[in-house]
Amino acid sequence: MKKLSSVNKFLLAVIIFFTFGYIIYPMISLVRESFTLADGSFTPTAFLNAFSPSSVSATLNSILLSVITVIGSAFIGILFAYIFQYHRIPLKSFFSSIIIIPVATPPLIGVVAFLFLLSENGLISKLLTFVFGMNGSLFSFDGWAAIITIHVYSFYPLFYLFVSSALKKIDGNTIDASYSLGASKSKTFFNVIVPQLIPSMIGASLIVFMASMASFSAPFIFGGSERFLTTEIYSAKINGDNSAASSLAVMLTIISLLFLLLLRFYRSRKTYEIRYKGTPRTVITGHKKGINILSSTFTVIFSFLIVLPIFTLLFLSFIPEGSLMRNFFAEPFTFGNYSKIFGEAQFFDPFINSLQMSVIAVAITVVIGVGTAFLIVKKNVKGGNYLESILSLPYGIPGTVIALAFILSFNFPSVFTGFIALVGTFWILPLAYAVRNLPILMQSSISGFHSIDPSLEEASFSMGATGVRTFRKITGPLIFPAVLNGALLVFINSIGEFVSTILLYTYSTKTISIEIYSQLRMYNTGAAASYGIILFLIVMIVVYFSRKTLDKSVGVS
Amino acid sequence: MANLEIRNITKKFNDTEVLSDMNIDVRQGEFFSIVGPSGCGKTTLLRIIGGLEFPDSGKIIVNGKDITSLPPQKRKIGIVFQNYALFPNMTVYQNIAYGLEILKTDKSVLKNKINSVLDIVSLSHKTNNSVTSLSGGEQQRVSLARVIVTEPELILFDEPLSNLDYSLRIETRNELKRLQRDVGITSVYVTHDQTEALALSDRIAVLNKGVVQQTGSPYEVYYNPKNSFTASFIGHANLFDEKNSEQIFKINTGKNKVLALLPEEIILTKDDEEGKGKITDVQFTGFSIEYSIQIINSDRIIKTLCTTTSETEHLKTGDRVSLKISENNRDSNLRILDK
Repeated sequence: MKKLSSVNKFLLAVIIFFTFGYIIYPMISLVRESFTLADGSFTPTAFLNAFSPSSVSATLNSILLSVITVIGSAFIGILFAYIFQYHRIPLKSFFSSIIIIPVATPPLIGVVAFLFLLSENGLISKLLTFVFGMNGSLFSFDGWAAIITIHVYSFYPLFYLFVSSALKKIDGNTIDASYSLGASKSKTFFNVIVPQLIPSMIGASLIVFMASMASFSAPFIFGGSERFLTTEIYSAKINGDNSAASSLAVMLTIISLLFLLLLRFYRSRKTYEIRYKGTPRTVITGHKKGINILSSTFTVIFSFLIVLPIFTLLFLSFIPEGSLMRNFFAEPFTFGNYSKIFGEAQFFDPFINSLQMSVIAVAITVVIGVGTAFLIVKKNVKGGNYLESILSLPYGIPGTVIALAFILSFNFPSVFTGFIALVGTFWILPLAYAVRNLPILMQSSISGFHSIDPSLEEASFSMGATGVRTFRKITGPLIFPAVLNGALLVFINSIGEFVSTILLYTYSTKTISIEIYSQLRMYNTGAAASYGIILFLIVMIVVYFSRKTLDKSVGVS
Repeated sequence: MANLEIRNITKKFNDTEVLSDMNIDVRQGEFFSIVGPSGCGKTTLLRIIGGLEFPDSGKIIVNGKDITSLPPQKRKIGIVFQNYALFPNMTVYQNIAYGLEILKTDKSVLKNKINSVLDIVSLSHKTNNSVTSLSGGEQQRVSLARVIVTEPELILFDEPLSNLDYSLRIETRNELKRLQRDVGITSVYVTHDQTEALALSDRIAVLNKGVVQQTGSPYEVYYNPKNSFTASFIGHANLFDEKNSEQIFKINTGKNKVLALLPEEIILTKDDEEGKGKITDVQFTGFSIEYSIQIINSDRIIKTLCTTTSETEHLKTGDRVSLKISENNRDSNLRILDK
């Protein structure tokens, strides 16, 4: 370990303060509460809340939902990864951008869009009525089917991204080598291609499972009487039963962290990689015209289905308020919904709140995330791997749980709250967003620092540059793309955050997502849809720029 | 320009001694190579000279001044890295300007210096290109220009040619020698390629297992190796133990000594009856033929080399041959070395 300068020591102190105050301490408070009865007495039996029949059924439902989500997402994601890698699809890059749209869409937007598309009063149902003069609700879209549909919609792109990046790394020569050694097509597929994909499939499965366990919006809106862990925690909290809420939260966290542990274990294992000169050859095996036409048609239809909910949202954002119950195809288009949002302070404030909170969350994660990465990678700080593990924990802690833990920890003044009761203030929201997203930024910074060849800094030193100059001119600019990319991701996640916001907001700190939800509650579809579209556009613009900066990121081969 | 003294340098990583009590003198303006197999400690030694590692004991002295504990920033030693270490976020011009800006060089002087150094490495037409767009050979020249423009007292080269293709390597090697001679900066060059070291250097230090085996001019280390390691590493010499050299050449080496003969010093004649060796492989490389010969009644394989224009008859795999030491053996004294 190199000696730390006083600036670095200060940075380390800030990071340790943050880690303890906003991750360790809230989790301790949560566990303590889970063992406390409603009357305030501390007893192990309080935790039995987590094993009551309704809790057990909620746990089993959540697990079952996650398993189904993983299977469904895997099926679609892997299928498209395969098609896009090996078949000839027209406008390939266009369609491959389309099919990853859901991964960037805030979960609540997806939920609302599906609601408007498929529910009893949704677009499809209205269209059928309009065209065929059919009456009323032909089908209902709720419960398990609705939740699973939305989950698969939101999570299959993760499988697609993981598996297609693994497919891209497969050297076409290994496939040719297998054929030339006399292996059949199926033997080659199962013995050469699949083994190289398994690590990516495991990774995607674990991440989708965790995301599905933590999912709140879909079960919340469509769950009805079905119990799921996240929604049970929410209702227990709203009913004032902190103890039961905490017990369930601990349960959920244990399951999620178990999967995080598996994920970290799997990532630490070595993957197949051989370094050689030259570039791996990629092959397109779709020789047969029929197959290419089939998969192209399929891709076009599927891409249409992917953007359909978003177009529904766009369509409804131009429909006058209160038309949902009527036959809105007859109504004229209007910009009224948008002008209301931008015109009236009451409707515009949520935007300001969301933007401010997201920017603050980004600032906090950048300072803590980049600082930690710097100290771990560049300064080899003692115990750095423990610090990294603790700061990665929030990746496995669902938003509902973080919000609950924050409420329990910060509802009275302490050194971590700036000596005020933080609950109910503006600041608790960006703080929660920052903690939730810290792992993303820290990991992208760590890999950013790792990807810098140490000899660049050595070259700078040997030419007489100080540590500060080297960071400003060489290291800083080189990690910038990685940090910016992480920061934009944090921004996207924060601006549409709903899960922890719904537990932490007050009237004056309403965010866009809360406003969408409350407009929905009041059947103001037009307003909800316009908010949704604006939020969607903000996210897409940010994604566009983050992809641009990634493309521009540099490296000497 | 400077002379460099390496005094009793010792370095351990964990419990393994990488360098033990190393002493080397590099003279002013000299092109000095440190050559040895991978893992011999040559890169560690280079990094210690550059201040990127610090020795456990011993001293690094430049121009009589002890710099052992100085950080790299204060050493005025330029380093050309194996992977060039060009700053990918900067252009060719900015890379070269980097060191000069640190020296607070006057703007107009800076521009002139950069232009003239770009001229020297023939890259004037790529001044404002991004370094990532350059070929390997061009990147190599930029990394050299970046170092010489700051006029360091010493330049360190860490296997700078190993990432280049064969023909480019030869070309860049010649270029490098020309530049070093023109600029005249004392240079320390680390490589595992003995041909490269022989071709480039004024003097060479042969390293093995953290110990200097021999220091001398290319001719000295090639023709007068001091031990069997140098003989086989530098000249690919064949080593014959006491029994073999007595049997084949009727030369008594004495106990625990070996006779070292370079591949081109052994003359083969076809002898189906009495021949002491049997040809197991023939490799034709154009200007020369390399024979692998198994000594009869032994599993010892030796290699010999003869030019294709020489008078010796061309032999085939399976031929029995007798072995003789060439009359042209340069110093006509036999190399009898410690095992």
